[in-house]
Amino acid sequence: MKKILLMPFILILLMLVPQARSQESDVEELNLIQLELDKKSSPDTEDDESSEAAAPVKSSSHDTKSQGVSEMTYEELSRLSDFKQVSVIQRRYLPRTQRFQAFIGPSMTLNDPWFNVMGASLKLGYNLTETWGIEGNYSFMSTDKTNALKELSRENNITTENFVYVKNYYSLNLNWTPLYGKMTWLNKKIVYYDIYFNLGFGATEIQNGNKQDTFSIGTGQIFSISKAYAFRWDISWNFFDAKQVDTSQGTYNNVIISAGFSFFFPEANYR
Amino acid sequence: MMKFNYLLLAVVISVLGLSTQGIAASDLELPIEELAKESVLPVFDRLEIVRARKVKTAGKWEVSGNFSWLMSEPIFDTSRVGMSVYKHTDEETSWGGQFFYYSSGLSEYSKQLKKQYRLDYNRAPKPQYGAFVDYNMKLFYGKMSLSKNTTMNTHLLGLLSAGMTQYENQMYPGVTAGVGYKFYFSSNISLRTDLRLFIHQAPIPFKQGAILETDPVPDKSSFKERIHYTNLLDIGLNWLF
Repeated sequence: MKKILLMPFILILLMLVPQARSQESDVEELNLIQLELDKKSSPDTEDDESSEAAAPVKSSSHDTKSQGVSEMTYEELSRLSDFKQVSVIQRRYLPRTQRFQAFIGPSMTLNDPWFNVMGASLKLGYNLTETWGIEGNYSFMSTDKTNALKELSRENNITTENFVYVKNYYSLNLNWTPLYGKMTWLNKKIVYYDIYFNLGFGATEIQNGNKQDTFSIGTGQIFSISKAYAFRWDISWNFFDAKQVDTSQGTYNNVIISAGFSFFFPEANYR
Repeated sequence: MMKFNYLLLAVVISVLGLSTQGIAASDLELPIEELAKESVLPVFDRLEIVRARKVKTAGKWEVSGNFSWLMSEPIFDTSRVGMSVYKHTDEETSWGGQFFYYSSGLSEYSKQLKKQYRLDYNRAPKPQYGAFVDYNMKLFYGKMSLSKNTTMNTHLLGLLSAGMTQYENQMYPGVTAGVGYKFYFSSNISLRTDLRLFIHQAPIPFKQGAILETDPVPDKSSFKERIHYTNLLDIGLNWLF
């Protein structure tokens, strides 16, 4: 009789003990996860977005050293202990070092009151590092007179053939990409981006066929779609000298906006 | 009987020992070829992108002062200054009222036309001030790294506004559409840049027989009107409270 009573007790015990261990292990693991999250968020507690949870996290080996975490080789990553050592392989979402970037997109001049100037821009660049790169740009423009120019000519009897407009523009730019970040689209999706600035020098062909030396400054943003494709917008502010309406020589400035897609190649060398 | 109990105890201890062995293992041995070679996005059952925003706008007010460059304005001065007040209804939308005061001068092109052809566009009705209702859709919220230890929060906005502009002769309606970018220096101070297309009814300043310095001075209400398209760039400083 005692044996019969003892057997179910032993069976229940046998079933419960691993379960209890498992629960304890789960709780311990949750605590560890919390610890890891706390440790990760502690350097900038002000910082907010937990979007890291849904995306690859970025940092360099310098970060790892500065946080007092020992650096590991790739081979050592295969011997991690049970969640106490979490190795997050961190890098920019869209690596650019030693990669080419080809861009094509429509462009337009925003600040010409006399002509609707629209066209397309082609760019081919090479990134020496994640931060620095060089890029060639060619923009060709199609021009249409605005109502203001037609009215000026018709109502005020002004000859407008000498009004300056841009036929095409080419330049060589030095690109500097100091800013990178991420944004959430209506709290549903993470998008990674870089913001760059550039300085360029080239030439602008104007309406009379003359090619004027052109200096440009610009900025833009590259939104990563994948590790090879990105959406990019770009604003370039170009300065060149040409004859003004009053026939004196003056400096023109053109604000050219372009938006399109960039293709990065070759495939990123990850490790 | 005694023998059976000892046997049972031995079995229990063995099973308990075996069951804990798997848990006690603390080191994982993984073949190198099974390690991830590139970063991937994990998939979660419940995707929560932003857990706690640093910049919380819902229910708050915002005031701003801004400067506008009317980039494709041919005749009148291409600058104006403004003040705006916004109410953030939630984290995704805000409504605001904008008031603009236009500079009263002429553009560089007008000055050249006057010098070369003696055309005086001061005779045409100029814009004086405007009041608009502005709707902002906060499409993207994010942050960017300025340095290893510094981040800046951003908002990318879709913009729509409608309102009236007072010219010297009468008031004209207009609408704008565009995109805006806000860069937060702190949780409540930000710099904002907007790029808009301003579509507005306005007088045509090129009136025959009225602009030449030798022409008789026209009545400002005698100018015809049409729809104008002007590209606008706004830069402003905002305070959220």
